[in-house]
Amino acid sequence: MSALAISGRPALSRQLARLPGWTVLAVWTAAVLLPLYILVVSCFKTTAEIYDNRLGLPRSWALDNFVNAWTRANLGHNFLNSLIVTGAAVVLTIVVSAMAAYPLSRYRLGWNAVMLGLFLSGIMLPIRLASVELFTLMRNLGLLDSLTGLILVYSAIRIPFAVFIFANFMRVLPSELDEAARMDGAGEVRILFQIILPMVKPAVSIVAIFTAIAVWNDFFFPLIFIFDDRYKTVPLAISVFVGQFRTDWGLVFASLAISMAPILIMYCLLARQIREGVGAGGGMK
Amino acid sequence: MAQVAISKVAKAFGTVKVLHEVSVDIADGQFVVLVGPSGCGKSTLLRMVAGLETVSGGTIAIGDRVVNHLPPAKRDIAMVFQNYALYPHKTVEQNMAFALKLRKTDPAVVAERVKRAADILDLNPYLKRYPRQLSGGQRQRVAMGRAIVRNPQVFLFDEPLSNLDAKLRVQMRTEIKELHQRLKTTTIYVTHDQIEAMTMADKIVVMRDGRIEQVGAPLELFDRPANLFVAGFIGSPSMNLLKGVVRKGGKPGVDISGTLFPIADNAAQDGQAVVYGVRPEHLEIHPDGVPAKISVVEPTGSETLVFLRFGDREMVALFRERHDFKPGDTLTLKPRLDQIHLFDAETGKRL
Repeated sequence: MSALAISGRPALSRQLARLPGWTVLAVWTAAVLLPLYILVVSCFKTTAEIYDNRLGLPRSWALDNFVNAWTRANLGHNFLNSLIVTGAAVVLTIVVSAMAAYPLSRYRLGWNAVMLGLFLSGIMLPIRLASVELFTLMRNLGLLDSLTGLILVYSAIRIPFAVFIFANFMRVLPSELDEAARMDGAGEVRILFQIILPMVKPAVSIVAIFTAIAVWNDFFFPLIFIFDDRYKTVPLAISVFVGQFRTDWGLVFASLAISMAPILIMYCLLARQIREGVGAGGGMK
Repeated sequence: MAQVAISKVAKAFGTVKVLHEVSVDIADGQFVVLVGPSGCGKSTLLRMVAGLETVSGGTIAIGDRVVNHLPPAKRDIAMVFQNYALYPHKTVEQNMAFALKLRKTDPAVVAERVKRAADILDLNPYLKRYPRQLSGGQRQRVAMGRAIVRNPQVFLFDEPLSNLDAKLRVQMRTEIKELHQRLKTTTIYVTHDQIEAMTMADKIVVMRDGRIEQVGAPLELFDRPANLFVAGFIGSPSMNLLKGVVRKGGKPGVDISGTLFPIADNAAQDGQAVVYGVRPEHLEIHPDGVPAKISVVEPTGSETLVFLRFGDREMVALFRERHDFKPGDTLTLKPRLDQIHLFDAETGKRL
């Protein structure tokens, strides 16, 4: 009897139980998709058309706005700046963090936990609180108005998180691996970059994509460190397109679409590794 | 190839001493097995020879070099780990070639040595595969291949067969032994399995609690265990060890719970408390024997194990011939006089 009751009960009530979850997801999806939809359709509209018809489809799918953004507004140059800053910050963050995480997670030092705690506190403190100090520091170092300055600041900000991720992935690898490599005659640097790092690829992907997104989209640090148009990154450049009296909104939307592309592509390329990495600890066999 | 001299080697982790002045001499080309229960220090000793643990006292020499302070790579040794420790992102070929490449060996020589090792170990079809695509036994062979290509003076094995199933273990045991007979490289092999030790070793070092209990050839340890621990550890099923008192009034014997077990006339004193040891296979059915009641019979086909009770004591007998035994039957068993081991009950030392 009871088995019957259990198997007979579910259909409707089980689906009802799921309803709140689905509702939240649906609202969330709409909240994300609506701006995205407006962005995409607006890329193909003129400013007048955007004001007339905010939600409708564009009259034509001409690429004028993209061409204008890239050439007339010189977004191409800013795009290159962003690529350089993001690429360099990602590489620097990965190399430095891996080198810090390796001994902290795999040597018997006695003070590993304290050091990791210090790195962890770096994640918790909001860096913007130190903006003024940071500005003074950059000015004294002569790094204002330079891509190098941005790269260093971004790496410094992202390293604590990256060390934390790397240390957690590296900790679970069997110690025999480095021992075998050591017996094979590999030095510590080679063990890290040729044996350990290839085994924590998911961690590398996670660090790469999180660093890239944060750096690529950041508006704040270029705003306070960069004044010369030659060194502006994409978010800062786009903000200039929004003028006080007249704004070419079609061009702004097209620029935004262009700025989203690299992150989207990167995510598609690394999505599988990230999904695997978030769950798995990187087992050996 | 080289001899290895371990002399008065000690190891302490903080205040905890795990090895107490251990000395072992290993001749050139010898296959030495370090065996003992877990925590006896055998793996630590091996890792000290490998250079993976520091030496707290004494010296370790490979050939005529003291290697105490040499890094592992400079000791001219190769090690096979229990979990294989293959590099998962490298193919079998790359795994085996890694050490040689690091030494900037001529690529032609690398290829030739990898080929030779692959031939020896039947790994040719798998050279382009990754470790995850191999079975346990194949991975084990790759780990050995990685050791062979380096052509080291000493091979070190750290429980290499523990992760394999029983059948494969027996097969790999033979393969490792064959490999040694072919390459004749000095080998130090660590295991907790006394059968592995007995079947493979030229010389066995039995360890317990950071000390060496006995060193000797397998059959020497089997026939003349130096103390109670070795007597109980070596041999399967293990030796019957029964506490008793020596009686030398009439026919010499050991009184065990009122039953007199015969002994040959030897160093034991009348009235001395001893442990009487006899292996299960050295008990024979004999009309003059000690009566004992069968509690359990375990036939394995080639032999039959019989668990018996007499008084408040238990013992085990092993028969190669077939008998129709049933629990509850009484057997009269007589130990073979030349196969009796007597140990001092106090010190555990052989008498």
